Amino acid sequence: MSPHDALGPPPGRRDEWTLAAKRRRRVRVVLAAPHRVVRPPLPVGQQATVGERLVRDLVRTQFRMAATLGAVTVVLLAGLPALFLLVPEIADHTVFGVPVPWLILGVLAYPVLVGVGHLHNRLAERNERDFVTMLDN
Amino acid sequence: MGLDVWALTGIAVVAVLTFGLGVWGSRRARTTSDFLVAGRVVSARTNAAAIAGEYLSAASFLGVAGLVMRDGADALWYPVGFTAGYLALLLFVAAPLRRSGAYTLPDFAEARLGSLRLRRLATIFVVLIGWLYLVPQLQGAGLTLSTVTHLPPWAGALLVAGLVVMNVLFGGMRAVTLVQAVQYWIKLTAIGVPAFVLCIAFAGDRAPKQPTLSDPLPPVFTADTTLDVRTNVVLTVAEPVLLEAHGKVNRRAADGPVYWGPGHQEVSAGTRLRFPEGAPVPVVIGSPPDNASWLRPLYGDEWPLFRTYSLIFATFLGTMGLPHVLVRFYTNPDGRQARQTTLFVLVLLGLFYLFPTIIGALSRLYVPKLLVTGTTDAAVLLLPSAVLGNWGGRLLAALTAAGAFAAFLSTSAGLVMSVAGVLSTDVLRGRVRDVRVGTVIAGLVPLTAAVIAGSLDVSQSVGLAFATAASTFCPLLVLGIWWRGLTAAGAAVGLVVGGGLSLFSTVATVVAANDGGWAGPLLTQPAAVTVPAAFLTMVVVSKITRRRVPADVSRTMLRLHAPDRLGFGHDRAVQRFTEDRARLVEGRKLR
Repeated sequence: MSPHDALGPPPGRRDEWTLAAKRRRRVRVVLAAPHRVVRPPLPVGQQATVGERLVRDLVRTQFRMAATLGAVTVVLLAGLPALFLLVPEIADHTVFGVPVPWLILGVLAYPVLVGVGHLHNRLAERNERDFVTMLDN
Repeated sequence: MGLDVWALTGIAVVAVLTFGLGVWGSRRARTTSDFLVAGRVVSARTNAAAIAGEYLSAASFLGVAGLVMRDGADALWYPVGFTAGYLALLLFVAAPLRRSGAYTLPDFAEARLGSLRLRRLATIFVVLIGWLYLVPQLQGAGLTLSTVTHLPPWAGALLVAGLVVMNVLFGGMRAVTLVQAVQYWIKLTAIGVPAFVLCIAFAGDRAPKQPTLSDPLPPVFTADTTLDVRTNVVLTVAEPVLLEAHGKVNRRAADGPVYWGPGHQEVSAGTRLRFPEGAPVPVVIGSPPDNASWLRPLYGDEWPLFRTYSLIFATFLGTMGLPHVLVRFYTNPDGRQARQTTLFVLVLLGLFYLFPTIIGALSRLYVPKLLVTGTTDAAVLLLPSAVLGNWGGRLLAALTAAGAFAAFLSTSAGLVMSVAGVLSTDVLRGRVRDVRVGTVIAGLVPLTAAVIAGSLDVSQSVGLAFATAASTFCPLLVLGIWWRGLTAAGAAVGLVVGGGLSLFSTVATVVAANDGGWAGPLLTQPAAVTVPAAFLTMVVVSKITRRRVPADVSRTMLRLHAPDRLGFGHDRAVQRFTEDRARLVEGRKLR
């Protein structure tokens, strides 16, 4: 099988390709198997050490961003049980007949989670763009 | 109740649809690259629906409503946690994991730390967690089928296990993103439409004697109710109640009218209880007995705060360690797409989880008898007919039964496939025959466990699977992706400590449940202890074995974190699974 298969027949070689496809047998797919990890080619020598430092920076930036967002979420959500314990009167308030804790946990928590996720994706991609720009320079 | 033809039809339609779509889909996917590259033409949205479809299990479809019905505000943490788990996955795992090219957790462990022994250890935990998660799926299937047909519970478990194993064996479910995506929409419809209709019916039905959920009183029976207790239960009686009992109460034979004052009553399996209309409902021990305390968060005198935090720990961090969740991420073409997909998953899950809460709350009013037998997982199935006595109720009940079956089938198929894949490549020798053997073993073991093991709540046993995943693979993934210092030894000891502790508490909980008792919060919700323990062990042991940090750690980090367009993340679809792999190796030698 040639690397072209995933992309379709190369122009002008359609018949040949179809024939080859007919001859081709079904292949068993092994998705998990030990001992077969293919490593990508490695930039050697000096390049690697400079690259390494850049990658270290990228990893640190990304982690700091993810950890900050994670911490914000944890404070927002995991703060709730403590809040309910310290200020039990919250449960007495209702909005449209629904007690506030139910409203927060049953409905409002989800848009918050989606919002944090959206923010993360934007920031993560911005960090990656910055990284690529830096490499280009 | 008798035989419910409508519900059976609904179940049959879902089963046939799943099987048919699967076979049709696998016919179309002929070659290796079709199989793997199918993901390239699937949009992030479809992919997300497939992930959500596979993820929404019996615990989400039946369990959450049941828990809300029984435990009230505290149970709302389950769906929030099940969703937040994907946020944790998005923040810390999704894109790097996709770029690592690892298809399973053992793959990741070996690719990152280069240890075959660690790979084997990870394999053991993948199989254990998979089974732990499969048991409640099969128990839920048994419950559903016995609710609509009165067949014994093992029949439903056998049916689903059989269907799933056949499906996987004949390539039915294999990687067919479409099937799983359709399952999501089936499930959303099957819970959303009934929730909507029943809400409207409830708003229109305001009988004067109807209690509201904010009364400081127990729920009451809305009609004369006869019920059979099938497993031993201990009940909390808040208001005195006069009833008829036939069987054994408090280990003494009872046959006729009895009076229960406030306190605890022990009812043995096989007892028939008859409550008159308007009688206050006794509830299973450990859950709030009256409506006002049900409505408030943090019920209970035994460390309610610890229980809640532990649950948050387990669900937030456990999702990323579930074997069938990770596999799905491989369908994304690159890391960026993996992030996009995960975000859509968050949206889809949030949408779904709005509804079980509504169903759970209505169930407390309309089917309180489930609070006595403890089979609150059946709430979703029984509520429609209880609210609407006409054909509409039966139709909605059929819809929920069909949705429940979609939940069992899709999640079990994903789990059986993951476990079978790992078994056949890492335990057996990876031949075609081994895949079949692996599939049968993967289905048979949890089936046996589901039939033998006593009845835990679906959500509770799923919760324990989450706790085990959170205390094993979460630290492995998070430290492996973000910390250079992790060593194979550290990871291995951490897996053993975290996994060992949480498995111990699982066994202890099951034993306690079979005695009709109630295990303490430390055992039923162990994650708040076991997860930090696992993280700490991994870090400390890695520091001690600092010299054994893999030599290629920089290269691995580059691959995990470099933006996709730089092309460091590698794609095994082209490199690993083509027939000219040998030629590739030859070519490299020549160079």
